[in-house]
Amino acid sequence: MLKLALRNILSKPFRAAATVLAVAVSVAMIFAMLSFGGAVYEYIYSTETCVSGNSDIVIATNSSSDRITQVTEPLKNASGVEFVCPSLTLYALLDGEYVQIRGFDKGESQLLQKFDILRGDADELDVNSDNIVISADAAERFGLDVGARIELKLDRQTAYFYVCAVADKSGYFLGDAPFLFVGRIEGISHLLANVTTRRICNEIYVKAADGTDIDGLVKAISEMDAYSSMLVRRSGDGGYIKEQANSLSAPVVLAGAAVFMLGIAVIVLLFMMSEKEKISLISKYAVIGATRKQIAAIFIAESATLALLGSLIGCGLAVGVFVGILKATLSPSIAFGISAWRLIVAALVGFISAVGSSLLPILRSFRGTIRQNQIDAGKRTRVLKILFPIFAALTVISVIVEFTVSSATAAMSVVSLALTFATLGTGLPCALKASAKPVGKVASPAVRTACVNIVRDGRFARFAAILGVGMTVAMLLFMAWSMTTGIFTDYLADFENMVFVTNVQSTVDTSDFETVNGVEFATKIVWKQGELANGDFNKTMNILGSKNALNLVDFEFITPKEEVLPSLSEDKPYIFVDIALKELYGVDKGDTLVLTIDGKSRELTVGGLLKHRLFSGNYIVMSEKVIRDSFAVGADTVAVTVHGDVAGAVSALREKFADKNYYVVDVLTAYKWDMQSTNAVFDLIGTLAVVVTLFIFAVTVAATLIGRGSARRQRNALLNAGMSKRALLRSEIFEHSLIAALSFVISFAASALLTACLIHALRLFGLYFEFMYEAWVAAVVGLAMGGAYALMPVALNYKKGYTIKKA
Amino acid sequence: MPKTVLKAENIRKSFVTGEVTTEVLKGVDFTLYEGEFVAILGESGSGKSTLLYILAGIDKPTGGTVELLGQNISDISDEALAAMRRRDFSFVYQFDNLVPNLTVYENVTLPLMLDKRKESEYKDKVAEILDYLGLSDRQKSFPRQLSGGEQQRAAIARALVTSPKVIFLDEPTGSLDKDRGRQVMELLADINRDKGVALVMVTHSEAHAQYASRIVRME
Repeated sequence: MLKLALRNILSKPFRAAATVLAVAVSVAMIFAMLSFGGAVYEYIYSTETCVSGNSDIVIATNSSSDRITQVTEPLKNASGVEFVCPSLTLYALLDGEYVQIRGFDKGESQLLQKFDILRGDADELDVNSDNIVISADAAERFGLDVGARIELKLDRQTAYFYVCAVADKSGYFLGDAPFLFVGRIEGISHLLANVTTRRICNEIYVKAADGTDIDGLVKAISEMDAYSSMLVRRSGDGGYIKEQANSLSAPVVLAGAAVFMLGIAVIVLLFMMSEKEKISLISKYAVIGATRKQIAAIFIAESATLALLGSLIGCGLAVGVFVGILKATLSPSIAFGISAWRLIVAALVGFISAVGSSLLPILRSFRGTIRQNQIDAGKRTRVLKILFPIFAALTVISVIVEFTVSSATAAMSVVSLALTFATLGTGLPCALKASAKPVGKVASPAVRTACVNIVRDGRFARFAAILGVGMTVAMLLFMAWSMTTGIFTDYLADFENMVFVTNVQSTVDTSDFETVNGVEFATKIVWKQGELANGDFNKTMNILGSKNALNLVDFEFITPKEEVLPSLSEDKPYIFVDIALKELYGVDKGDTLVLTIDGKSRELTVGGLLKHRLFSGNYIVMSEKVIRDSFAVGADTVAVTVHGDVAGAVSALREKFADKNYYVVDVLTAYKWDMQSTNAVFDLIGTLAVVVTLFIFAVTVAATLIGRGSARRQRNALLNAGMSKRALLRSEIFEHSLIAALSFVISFAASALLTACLIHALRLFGLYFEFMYEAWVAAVVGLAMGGAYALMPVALNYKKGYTIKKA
Repeated sequence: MPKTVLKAENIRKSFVTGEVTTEVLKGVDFTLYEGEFVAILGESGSGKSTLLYILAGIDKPTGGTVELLGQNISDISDEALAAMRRRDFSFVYQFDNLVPNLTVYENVTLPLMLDKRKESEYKDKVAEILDYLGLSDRQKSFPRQLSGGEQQRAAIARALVTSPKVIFLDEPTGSLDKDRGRQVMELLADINRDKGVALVMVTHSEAHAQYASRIVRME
């Protein structure tokens, strides 16, 4: 049987190759979508923990301006501690640009992370305290190399350093924004004025011994006298990293579910593409006495061979392409783990779909007599005509419930997504036939022939289903990209006139800042993260602690402004949260929530609801005094609004407070640094969208060519009947164009509904957004795919194959 | 009295197209005896091919019974009917009998292979049949490389290779020119005479029907 199966495969090498390719591409698409979320988490984890490296606990000063004399002895003697690593990080100016300079004690610079040295020698750090290691990016940015002398300035202090090595962008340098220089505490402390000892730091990293209860150790350290006034916490905040990765990847993970389903559908349709031929062949075998088992064995062996090959190549393609994309977009230095189970799931899904769908013509042929199969081989099925109205009706019901019953919105959105795709898949073939019928009445023989083919030949229905659904999935992927980018960057424009001055004392007089040229308004602010929770949720929120916060950012007031402003300005113990919390968890004015800042938890009342796309709604506005009173956390930042030249104002502020150890940076630059890792994820999503779209188009082309291969007799007959090659080409171009045009129109319309469903479905991930739809994105994607499909007959030179051959 | 190999009684067949029911066969009786060569002659649409398909178990009748080699083919399982096709009777269509991606030799030996017989058992016999049908030098060719007559001879070779008791033929010369058609008819007459195989042939050609020992006319 295997021999017969192999002969079947080898008799049509092109079709076999196209089938294997399509299965491989589908498997790769499925794997990429299964792995996307994990890869984003891995990347965010790596970037978030690049500072703390392999440590488990970090002990930090309460304010970034504080320095502490190294007190490590109590830690070194504590049980469960493997090693202790003090570190001093400062922000200094190099050529007028901020850089981070981080120092370690002699011999400890690679305790937390290893350098990946490209040039020079990192051991030189231990020889001279004024040696530093810089990243390759920094070397390029500042035109530096090994041996270069650099001048760093902090306040009125100046210190000189020498580049002893240039490292790759990994380890400490993974979060190289602003550019990081790594040196020795002894040398770096020369940038600080009035320092009496070189044994200072602002962070102490602790590596716990294997098997140690980390939380227990955190508690034990917090209770030690030497550290009781400091912040002691775990190095990697798993919850926050998960939330961050989740919010960045959720839209694509959802769109990825559609890609997953598309991958299966493509494989199924592909293996059904030659159903007519298979049924005819089954009849031939049956008439000479092949049993059902033998027939099934031949065709299963054939499809299993193709599916196995496709799945194996798909695994290779998945690993190669996906890891390549991750390395190219996220980081070349992170060793992204390839999940074996995801690879197995993708390969199994591809294999089972392929083998399962190849059973359909067999089962169909077993239903009737040999003669019936011969007659019915080309008979069209009525399944689509029955399924389409059912799916359409269910979609309408689901969408109505989704949009009208708020408690069911999130759950129903997933149902609506699935049903809309099902409606598209079954409706596109029906729409194609319905549109071909009237068009086929025109005089042009080429158009008439094309329309008759479309109406009567089932393969066109499959082309339309694959292209239309594929186009919609591609639109959705690009929409997810556009949406994610928008969610995380749109609000930045609100901050273009704002400058942060950090390292200030909480008692600072902000009126001094307002005297600087260009400064409009200055206010003290606590800008840090905290955990907000009630029984239903626990979210990491960005806290804007200032009674003037509502003057800094242009919030929309859900609770009347007249109620919010007095509460905030009078330092009442309220928090103000985004409408997203109401939509997601039913949080409303008057509710009591638990806010945790630096390990201290307090119950606070929701004073009102606001609306802004800031941090995708994950923000809390509250008075700086309430934070100080409740959490003993004082403001260390002054937010300054500027009119006119922001860069000029930044320079003026630095100049004015040059002796005060302030760190002055415009907010967009600060965000640019903060967004660097997020931008890499945007690049990943964008690249994935492009690659998956190319994959989708590749399988559409493969499916079309496979289907077209079975219509050679039809073309022979037309040529025999006197149709010119030119007219036949025009006819095929028209077939492609009609499918492309119809797919575009329907997909474009569906993409708006699907985007709305996608946004609703994000609520399941704890994300709330208002409807956003970039019509141009969908249009460009659809037109590009549709245009390319319409031009296929010309691009692939269909005309060359127009020779009358023996059938 | 020759032995009966096929007995069909009161065969009825109707087709339903939309709301229209067409009755093609209205209670046909048919008997085939051992070693007989019967030609079923009739105009297009007379139902002769439909009758042949029913007699060979390729189609099912709306009513009536077919007893082939002592077995009521409506009652036996698909597996048993398939086994009979491999061993007891064969079918030859007007054209397109062969599996396109198999050589002549592979096509001819396909029923034996499906019957799990060893090649050493049938190799000589296949060579003899191919030689008998003038296909010895074409056994490695694929169907697309053969003429219509050669394709039909290959189909007949495949029908013969299992040493069947009955061969059903649906217009076996329908796709051939006059000379090749005559050659095939002479070959079939020889097979019937030399090998004693009973033949049931559907044709619309009066001339070709004359090769048979009995003619059944359908109107």
